[in-house]
Amino acid sequence: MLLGLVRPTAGAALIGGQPYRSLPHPRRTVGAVLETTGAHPGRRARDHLRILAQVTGVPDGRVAEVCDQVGLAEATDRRVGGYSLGMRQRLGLAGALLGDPPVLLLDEPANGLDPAGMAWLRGLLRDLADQGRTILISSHLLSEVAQTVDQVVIINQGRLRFAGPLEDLGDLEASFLRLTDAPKTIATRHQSLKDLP
Amino acid sequence: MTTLIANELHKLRTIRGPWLLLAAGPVLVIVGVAGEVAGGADLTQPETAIHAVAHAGVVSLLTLIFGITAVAGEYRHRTITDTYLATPRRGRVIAAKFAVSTAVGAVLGLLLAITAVIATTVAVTANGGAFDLSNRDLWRTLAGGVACNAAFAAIGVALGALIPNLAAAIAAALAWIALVEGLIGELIGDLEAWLPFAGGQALGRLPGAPDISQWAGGLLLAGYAVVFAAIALTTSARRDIT
Repeated sequence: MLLGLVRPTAGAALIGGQPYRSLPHPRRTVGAVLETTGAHPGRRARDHLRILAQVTGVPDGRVAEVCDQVGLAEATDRRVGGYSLGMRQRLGLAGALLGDPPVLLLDEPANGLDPAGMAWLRGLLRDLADQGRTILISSHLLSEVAQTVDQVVIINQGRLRFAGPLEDLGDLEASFLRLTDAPKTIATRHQSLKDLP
Repeated sequence: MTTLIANELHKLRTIRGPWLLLAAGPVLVIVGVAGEVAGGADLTQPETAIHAVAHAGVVSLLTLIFGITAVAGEYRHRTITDTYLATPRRGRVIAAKFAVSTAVGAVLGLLLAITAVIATTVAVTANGGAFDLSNRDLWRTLAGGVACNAAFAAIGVALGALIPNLAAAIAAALAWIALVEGLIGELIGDLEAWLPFAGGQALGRLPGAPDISQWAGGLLLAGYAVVFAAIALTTSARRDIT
């Protein structure tokens, strides 16, 4: 909804005070890696990124730079079909970083990364944030994001349950479960299972 | 818009599918021409050569699939997300795809027409017949074949935008041509001539074409392309990408 891919039934989402579709250079303002972002398996990674660079409005030279940044420099000649899940995740990130955007939106960015990759990602995101960028991560890996983030927003059943600094929340997982009533749901399910003949 | 058009070409260039379609076209035309000439047709009749070169239009099924893939292929491989993130005004993306696919369809059509002329010349003269290049009907058939390829590419883009599921869109297009249009045609009688594939047959002057003029067929097909395009533009703009 933030990026105009899905229409909200009501309300508006603004980035820097503007709806996404009104941004003059959307990919240079917001970089996004979503669950629905993909690459053609028959296309080489370099071509995929060059195509994105063209519509992002940045020179081809950026492709090599972002590939270095995400650790894909050795693999840019390969077709994306041969990539592992972790490499695709890095490729998505490379595409999002092409426009050097001040805002990053990442949906489950650690998906498919091995332990070394997770540590690397944490460092990269920290660096990017320290450069003054806003990074919004949506994730269910609470213990992982608890190591990285400054601010937390908890949304459950379409309602905002919490928005504020991580310190105010204490233990992220415990607070999340309390705020979203998850244990109760599990207990209810357990009850209904017991009711079965 | 120039960037978007260049970008669409860039996308086509960097995958193998479009190249395979480009290669398959001339091969099919040569096979078709050879079959026409080898099939015992009277090589002294100009109609034989005309039927042979008409294969340039028959093969426009390929550009239909090409057009469908230009849109539905992006949904299939989920590159459409990045495409729309770069150009949130989706109508511009679809418009660029129309322009590029129609142009590619026309170029492929031209290539097929040249292939058809060469193949027919070779096949007819090798079999002792005479190939009369000054026949006006021959050139009209060739021109119709080129136009068919362009028009079906445009209709393909519209179809792909309407049915973003690649397999479903191609299945729907093939089912329409092979079965559905024939069934509807029987139902509506004389109005059959105004269905889309019939328009394509008239434009390409294919065997079995309905009794309408080539110009009428061309206009009909262009009309369908415009109507489909209008529907495609509105539905793509509203569809959620999830």
